[in-house]
Amino acid sequence: MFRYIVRRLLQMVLTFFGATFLVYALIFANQNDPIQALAGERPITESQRLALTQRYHLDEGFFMQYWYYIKGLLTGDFGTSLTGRKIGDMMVDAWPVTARLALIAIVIAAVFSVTFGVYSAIRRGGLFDNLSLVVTLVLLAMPIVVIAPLFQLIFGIQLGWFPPTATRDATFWQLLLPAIVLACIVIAPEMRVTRTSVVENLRADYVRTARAKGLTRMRVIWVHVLRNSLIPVITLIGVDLGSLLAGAIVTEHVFNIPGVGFNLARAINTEDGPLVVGFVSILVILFLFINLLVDLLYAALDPRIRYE
Amino acid sequence: MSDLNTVTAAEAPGGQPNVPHGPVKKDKPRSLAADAWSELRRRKIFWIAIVLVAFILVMSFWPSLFTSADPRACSLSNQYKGPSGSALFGYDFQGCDVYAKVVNGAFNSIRVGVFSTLVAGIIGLIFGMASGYFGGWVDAVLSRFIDIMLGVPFLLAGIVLSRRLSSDPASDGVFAVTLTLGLLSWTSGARVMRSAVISAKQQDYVAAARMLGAKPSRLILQHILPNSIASYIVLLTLLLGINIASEATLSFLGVGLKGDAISWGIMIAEGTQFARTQPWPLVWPAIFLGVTVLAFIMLGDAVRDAFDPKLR
Amino acid sequence: MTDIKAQMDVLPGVDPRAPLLEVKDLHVEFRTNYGVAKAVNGANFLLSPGETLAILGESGCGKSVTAQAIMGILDTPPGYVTKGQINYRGVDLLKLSEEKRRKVRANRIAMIFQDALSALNPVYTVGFQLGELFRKHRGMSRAEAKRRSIDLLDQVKIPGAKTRVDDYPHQFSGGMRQRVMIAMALALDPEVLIADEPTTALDVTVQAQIMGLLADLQRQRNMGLILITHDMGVVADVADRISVMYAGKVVEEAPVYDIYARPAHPYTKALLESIPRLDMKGQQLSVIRGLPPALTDVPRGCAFNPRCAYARDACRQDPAPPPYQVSVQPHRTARCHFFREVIGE
Repeated sequence: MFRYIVRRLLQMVLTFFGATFLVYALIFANQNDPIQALAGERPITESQRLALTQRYHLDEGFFMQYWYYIKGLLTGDFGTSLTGRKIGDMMVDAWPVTARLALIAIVIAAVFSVTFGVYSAIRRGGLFDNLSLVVTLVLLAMPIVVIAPLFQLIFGIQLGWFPPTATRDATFWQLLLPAIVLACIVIAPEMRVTRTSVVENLRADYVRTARAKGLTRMRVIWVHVLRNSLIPVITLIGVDLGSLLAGAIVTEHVFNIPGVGFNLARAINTEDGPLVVGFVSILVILFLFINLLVDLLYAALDPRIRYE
Repeated sequence: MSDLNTVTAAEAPGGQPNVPHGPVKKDKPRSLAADAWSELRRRKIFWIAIVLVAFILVMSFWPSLFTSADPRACSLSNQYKGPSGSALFGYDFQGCDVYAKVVNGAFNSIRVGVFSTLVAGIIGLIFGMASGYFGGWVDAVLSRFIDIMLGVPFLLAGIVLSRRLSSDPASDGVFAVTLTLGLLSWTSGARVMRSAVISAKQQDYVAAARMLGAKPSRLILQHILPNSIASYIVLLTLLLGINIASEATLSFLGVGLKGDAISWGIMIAEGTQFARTQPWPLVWPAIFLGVTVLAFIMLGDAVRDAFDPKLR
Repeated sequence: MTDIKAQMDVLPGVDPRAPLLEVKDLHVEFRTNYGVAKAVNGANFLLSPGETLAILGESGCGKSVTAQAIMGILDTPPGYVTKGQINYRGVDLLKLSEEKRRKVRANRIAMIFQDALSALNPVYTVGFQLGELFRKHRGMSRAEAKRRSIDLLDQVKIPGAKTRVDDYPHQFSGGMRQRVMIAMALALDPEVLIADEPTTALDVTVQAQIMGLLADLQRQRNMGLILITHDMGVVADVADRISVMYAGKVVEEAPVYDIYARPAHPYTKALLESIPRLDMKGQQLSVIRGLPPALTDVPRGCAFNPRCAYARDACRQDPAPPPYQVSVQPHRTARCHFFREVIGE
């Protein structure tokens, strides 16, 4: 377990530097006028120009610039947006909303994909299984830019079942429909992996043993098979987090939820370069960190890794 | 099993009886491709996908077959007019013919999708084959690089890179988005190619060709590539669908196609803002985008299932 | 011994005087996309308390499937019992509801599997998997179940049972894992134990230890043991009676001594002759011609006839003309028209 964690941490450090360098290079490398690039098409004043030059150390070499950038990230100094607000403060305001949204979405997705995935697997080839194969295929293919506006239109505006937009405090009720939208992106892959994994595990020898022990079918499936089947599903949740993050940008934009994605989308629209850089960097770090957590959870679920 | 072994040889695990593999009726031995094709032919989903893909391709290359209206001839006097004989899907808030715009939007989707997938396919092919064939430090470096790429969520990298590439305000963003998607979406292809090459390398006939002094380039072209290419093409079909969706997402967020370029993503973004007044300008591009992506994913999925006998 | 009264509550109709386990004309088939495989075509045998019955045969002869059918753990679909009876103390298990059948498992009839590593659940501790039996069948608390699990591990002679109870299956050696399997099977004091190739996956020295342990435990508890194997060496040491299976049928059943001394079926005889022997060193090893039949395509008449040196027209008739299954002697049957010739030579 210890060696596994250490190795995983070392990997994360490497990925952290690599990923932030990549992001930074994409933004600043080989720019004729990096300041104008940060500000986009909007005009900037001389004082802003000076502030940006200082902030990003644009008068120094590229690697020094990257060093200052990393130092900022590690000390929690994410800079200031073009509107003058501290990016760190904006993040503090925004992240609880996004975290709640993502959490509701993950719970919905996990409950649905695991129950339906297991049910599909034990009734393999049945009507439900075939139907769910078609439904997951459609869900798998639907881009978030299709699902989010259409769900808002149908369930929020036309049918009026859910509030179509959120207010500043973003209540649970307001977040439910966007959370369902977000869940839609991850339900399909998670359900398919659950199904495949359960089907494989149902054939395993230990299932035969569990049945020979006179355990009920429910116990064999939900205790013995499920724990083994969840291992690949958990890894997938880590991978899916990336699409969940991307989904949150679109979903929060559509439903007007004042979270991280909403701020990022607005920063793109208002051409607020520093804000985009800051938020993207924070999200990349967050993504890496959660992936680390998922890997540790994976180890907790599978003793064969724990004792490696 | 030889007769000598009948008594003492270790029994196969599982204790299942000897069920012969393959159909009972005696066919000639068939190749995997022929097998997959006969499997594919019987699947409805494959034919649905083929018809949809054909339809979309025709629409993107010959939009005039579907509409003679000019998607850019907009008049505010038509704002939010409902569907009619002349404009099947009605008009949007700028008074543009939604049907004409949707039909003409197919071209940009397909163009960005196909070219970005080609770029990604070529990068993935080269990196994956190099990684798998040479192994050693080449493999280590490339694999770490892929890890780092995967450390940045796709859309975030897309936003940053697309902004960076389309700094010219006059451009329509097609080139920038194509390059962005191509540069960011090759990783899964490289991984698939890498493992395909590694497993092909371990095949006896490749080892034999090597011992007979075949040059690496010849080995790759004549022995390894043909065996790995089928699964790679399937992957690219799926990627094509995903890239079309990504283009729409970037355009939706305002970092994709720009200016007067017609994109389903931009149409959805505009439609969403005014959905309360008139839903159709949102609904139609959303449906067309959804069906297009679905068609490519269905096609890739069906072909993959047919080529992967384990899943049958 | 087990409490007959408690047993009656679970299984109405249990007759303590009836045979412990009696399998009559059992038929099992697998319905696959590629056709119907007749895995068991009429298996018959009888097991008494304290007796060891060995079921012997090649891979795919239906011996493991028979065991799974007795346990009621066939994978259905594709496996189905199509005919026959499995009587436990006079109760036909095949006629029981699934709920009653479930309670028979582990409580009355338990099973040990071939490969203990894959037969144990990799993500739970050995203690959890043992304790589960006590908790779910006997309603014990976790603490009580753990204490009993440690006792059991002691009984199967696992050193340091107290600490090892919290280990995972992959942390045990092959022999120790098989001991855990045995402990698990014996937890609820079953009367019948089915061991499906219990030593095949083990080293030869460990094999002997495991077989010795099984024999000891069987003697202490007066269990009926069904030992499924293809290893004639193992059989000779521990079995009382032997059933030889071929293509889903029991072709010969006899006390162990008789089988080795005077086999009555050509297949048994051929099996014995194909064992390498030191005193025959330098001579050509005798082999059985041909291959065992595919179960989707069993030969007409006696399934062994295409490979049999004694085969004549009668052997190819379907159904086989009487006398096909014959009592060779008391307690001894063979499915061969020409058993006298086979014995007599």
